[in-house]
Amino acid sequence: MNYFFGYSGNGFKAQLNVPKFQNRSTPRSDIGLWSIEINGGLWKINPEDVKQDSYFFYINSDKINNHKVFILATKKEISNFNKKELKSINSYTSTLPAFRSNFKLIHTKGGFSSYQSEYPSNMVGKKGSIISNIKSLLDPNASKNFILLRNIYILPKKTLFYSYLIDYKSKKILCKYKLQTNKTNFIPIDKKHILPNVFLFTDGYLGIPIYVSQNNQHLSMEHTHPPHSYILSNNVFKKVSEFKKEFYEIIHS
Amino acid sequence: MKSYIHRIATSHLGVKLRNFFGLRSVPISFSHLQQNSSVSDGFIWRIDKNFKTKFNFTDLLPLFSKNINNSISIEFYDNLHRPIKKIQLKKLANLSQEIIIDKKFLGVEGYGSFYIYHNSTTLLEESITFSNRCYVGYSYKNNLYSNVHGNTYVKSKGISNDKFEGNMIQSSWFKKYNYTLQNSFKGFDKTELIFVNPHSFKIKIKLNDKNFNLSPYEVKIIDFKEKFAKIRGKSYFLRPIVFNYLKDSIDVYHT
Repeated sequence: MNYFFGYSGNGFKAQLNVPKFQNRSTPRSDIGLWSIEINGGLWKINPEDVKQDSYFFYINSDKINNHKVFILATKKEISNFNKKELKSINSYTSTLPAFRSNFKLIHTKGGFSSYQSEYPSNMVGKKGSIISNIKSLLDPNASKNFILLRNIYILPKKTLFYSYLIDYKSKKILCKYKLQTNKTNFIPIDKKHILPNVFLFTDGYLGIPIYVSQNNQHLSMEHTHPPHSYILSNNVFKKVSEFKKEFYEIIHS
Repeated sequence: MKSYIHRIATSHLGVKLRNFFGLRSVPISFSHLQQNSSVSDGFIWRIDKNFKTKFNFTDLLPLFSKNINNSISIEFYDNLHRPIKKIQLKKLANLSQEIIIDKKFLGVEGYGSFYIYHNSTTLLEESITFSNRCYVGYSYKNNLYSNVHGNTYVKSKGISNDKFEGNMIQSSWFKKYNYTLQNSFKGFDKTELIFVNPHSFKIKIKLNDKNFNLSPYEVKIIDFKEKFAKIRGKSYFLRPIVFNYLKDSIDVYHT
């Protein structure tokens, strides 16, 4: 099951087009759009009334904040919703290729960029860390650069955790940011840190890092992959944990 | 007994048979690759009076191996997969690298594909097969680059030898697969869908009600004017890059 999310703030807003159809099949008329938010220490699920046609739910910026996530489900499936832990309630969005919504980021003074976005449920129950090279997707010549880091965690809590900009060659921490679970976090990046050996590293929680550059009225937005997706051989977890260990040693030294 | 059946079903022959008959198909398989392979996506370059391309990649091998005799080779082809240029990068000082692909660099205009491979002159201390997904930026009318990551495994090369392999994306002999892009293309001045044939053989595809042929590894740009794109063909994983145009802006993303 996949979750969908957006962002709002710092002069930006988002729109989501959530398909009603799987990418190898036709739309389902009984599928509904639901939003999930933390309320009083529990997960609360609500039906979302948005513009729709036979193929898509069109979620406008007024329905999007940095905490809310969206899912697709039938009314019957919602009866299995767990208020204490975020768990899969169906497999409708578990497809290959991945089931994705279009996440369009719009600047209020003009400019837009989008990518096909999803937050897989198999990331929701896990703690860990992410490593992502920042120079690959940020542009030191742009007027503004930032990272949107989305975390969705199984428990209905807004827990603080830290992310770092780390120079891998010099083994130095350049910046430290305070982030929150179950939120689309905004991480501003100074152009002096957009250097070839600098990585974003999160300590304790996973997430999807989305890199945004802005120049004049033009935007670029794209996400990075976790290191384990690079390795196709069986020793993937060993290799990635060796790599992550180096970063843990830097932040705990 | 169960594990024996699983081993047969996931072997190169097992995958071929499953996909031949379209039964419990396997969309992507690396089972036929040699150990120690560097797998590349089919990246797309485009250069003309309005476009230039930027390639950002990480020197991955030093992150996963202690070997120091590493290099990176990048091979450029035109849209019909005729070779244009090959470069080899050695002793890179930084992990993240960037190449601007313009007429000065490539010597030609147009569009085509390129592939990145990681090499080592010495045997690795532990075998590894990996793919560098990388990021390609497209600048339209000299504006900000719109970035997209690699999206389709196409070719592979031995890390310590020059044996090339392909066809990680699987196909069927009989069954045709549907794939509908999960976005609407309404509201833009223009949309282009760019395909790379991930196979070493010619394929036929149907995009909505129009038929197209793609020769081995061919790159094809298709002007698209409809709201939805449904792709039908025997290739299991044929996913285009989308270029949406609105005034002087472009929005590029993988599907």
